[in-house]
Amino acid sequence: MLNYIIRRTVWTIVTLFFVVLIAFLINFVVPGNPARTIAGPKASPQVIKVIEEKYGLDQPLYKQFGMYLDRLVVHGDLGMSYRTNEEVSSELANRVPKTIYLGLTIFLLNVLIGVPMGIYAAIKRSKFADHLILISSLIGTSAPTFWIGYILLFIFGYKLNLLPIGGYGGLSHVILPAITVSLASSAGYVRVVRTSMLEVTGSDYVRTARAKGLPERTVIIKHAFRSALIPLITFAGMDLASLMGGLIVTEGIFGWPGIGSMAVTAIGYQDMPTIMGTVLVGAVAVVIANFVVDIIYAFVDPRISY
Amino acid sequence: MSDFILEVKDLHTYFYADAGVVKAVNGVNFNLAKGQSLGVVGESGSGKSITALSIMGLIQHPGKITQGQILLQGEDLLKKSPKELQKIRGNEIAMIFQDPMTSLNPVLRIGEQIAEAIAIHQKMKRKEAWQAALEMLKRVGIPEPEDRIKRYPHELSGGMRQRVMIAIALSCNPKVLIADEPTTALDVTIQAQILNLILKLQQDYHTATMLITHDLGVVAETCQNVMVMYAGRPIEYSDVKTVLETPKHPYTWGLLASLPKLSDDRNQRLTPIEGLPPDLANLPAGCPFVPRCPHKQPICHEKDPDGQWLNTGHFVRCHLYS
Repeated sequence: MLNYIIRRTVWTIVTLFFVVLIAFLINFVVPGNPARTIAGPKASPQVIKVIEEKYGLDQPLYKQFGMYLDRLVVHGDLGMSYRTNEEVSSELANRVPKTIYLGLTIFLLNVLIGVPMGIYAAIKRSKFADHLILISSLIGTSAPTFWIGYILLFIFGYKLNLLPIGGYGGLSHVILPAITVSLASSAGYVRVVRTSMLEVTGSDYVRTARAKGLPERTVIIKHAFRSALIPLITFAGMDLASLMGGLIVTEGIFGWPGIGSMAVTAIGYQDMPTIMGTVLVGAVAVVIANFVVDIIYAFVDPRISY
Repeated sequence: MSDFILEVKDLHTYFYADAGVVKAVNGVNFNLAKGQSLGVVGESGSGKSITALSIMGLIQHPGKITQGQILLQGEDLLKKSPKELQKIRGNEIAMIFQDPMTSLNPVLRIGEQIAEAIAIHQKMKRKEAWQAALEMLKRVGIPEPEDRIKRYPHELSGGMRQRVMIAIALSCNPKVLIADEPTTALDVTIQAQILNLILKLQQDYHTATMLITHDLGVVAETCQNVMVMYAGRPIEYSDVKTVLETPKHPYTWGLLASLPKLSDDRNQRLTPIEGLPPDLANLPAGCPFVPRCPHKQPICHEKDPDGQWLNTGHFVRCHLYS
């Protein structure tokens, strides 16, 4: 078991290294001269040269990567935003917790709504309840978030005056954006849980469990659901990872100051350091989420060999 | 008051599929006395497994038991509520399934899978139940049981897993044991071991046993009575010696003739029964064995034989004896 965790950790670090490398290399694929962008369109060649030297932009690639790694890992320095001239890392430090807050809330809602509904749909297969659940999850996935978001804002924020119209804050601020996203993404959970429950409840070992005379509730939860957990964990892991990368549309609608809106603004300004900062955060989130999922697997499925 | 532990009377189990009504079990009758073993023989699709599942109450949509009685010590199981049935399953009637690889839950420990049945039916606490489970592991001959009990199914071999299944089935000392092709998925040397184990335990516990198999050799070695099934009904039924030495039904003749014998010439061709089993959703008007029967008469095409009891205790369903 320990062996497995160590191997997974090592591989995660290796993957993170390559993530950073690729993020670094993208800088050079994008058109435009960073020195020129910093200096401004009217700058003279001398000014540009000075800036190039200052940022080490005239050095060979591997040296630049070395400098980049050093800045990133040792100092946590992601550079300065071209737009605001402030440190990217401090802006990220401001926004990442807010994205995490929203992301976790959505994740919690997804699990609390999606999993029980998926189990229920599987139990009531082909009956009215099952069809109802499938149709509503289809509507949830199909309806665009911006549409649902604005409608909810309009009803609850404007007309009924129950909730604030956007912005960051506590429960009253987070509940509308969370529900907006959750309506769509919980549908994925419903489907995954329903499918794997249906597959598992038809299996031989569930038949054995019933043949033993175990109460139906025990059969469903202890035998069926426990085995159906594995695809669910994969799905939940991917969902959590993508939530941590930020929600561009939702943050825009509700004015939620997370990484998503930060990325959108940066793209508009071609603010490379900020863009790279958000890309890095997103990529790291995915890698870490995968790592966590792998570790959880080892505890849930004894067939995984350590 | 009869002294049969299990009596199955006129059992019909149909499956309502889109293609039609599949008459999987179409009139099964048999009895089991305490300590007796009945071999149930037939091709795939003859209704053997569905009969077993019907007795256990494990038939699910789109299947339904449409007719008949299943009397366990005189009480009709088909009239019982799901809760009552749940108390009987695993407790008074137990079943072993064919494939031990897939019949055990992969994410639960062996000990847990044995202990949970004991805990529920005998109302024991977890620790006691695990103790009892350990005892069962010893009784089914698993080496190093204290170590094995904590293991997961994928860490055991096929023969071991089937022993665990037997341990689970017999853990609550059931009155009836149904074994559905318990050795088909195992290799021959292990087969012998497992069959001996079932026999021994059956004698120790006096469990009435229903052994389903397509292997006549197994029946010859382990059972007292045998019931040959075809198209969802028994077509021959008597004690093993009678059926194997003086079989009456053409199907039984065909089964016995198809067995290779040591005395046969090596290059001699085997004698199969020509044709395929009938489509249970479209049974013909007459005897369902007609297309494959080398002894058919005109009446066989028109009328389905009811079956009769010849001299003492030998049942045949064939117009040759009407």
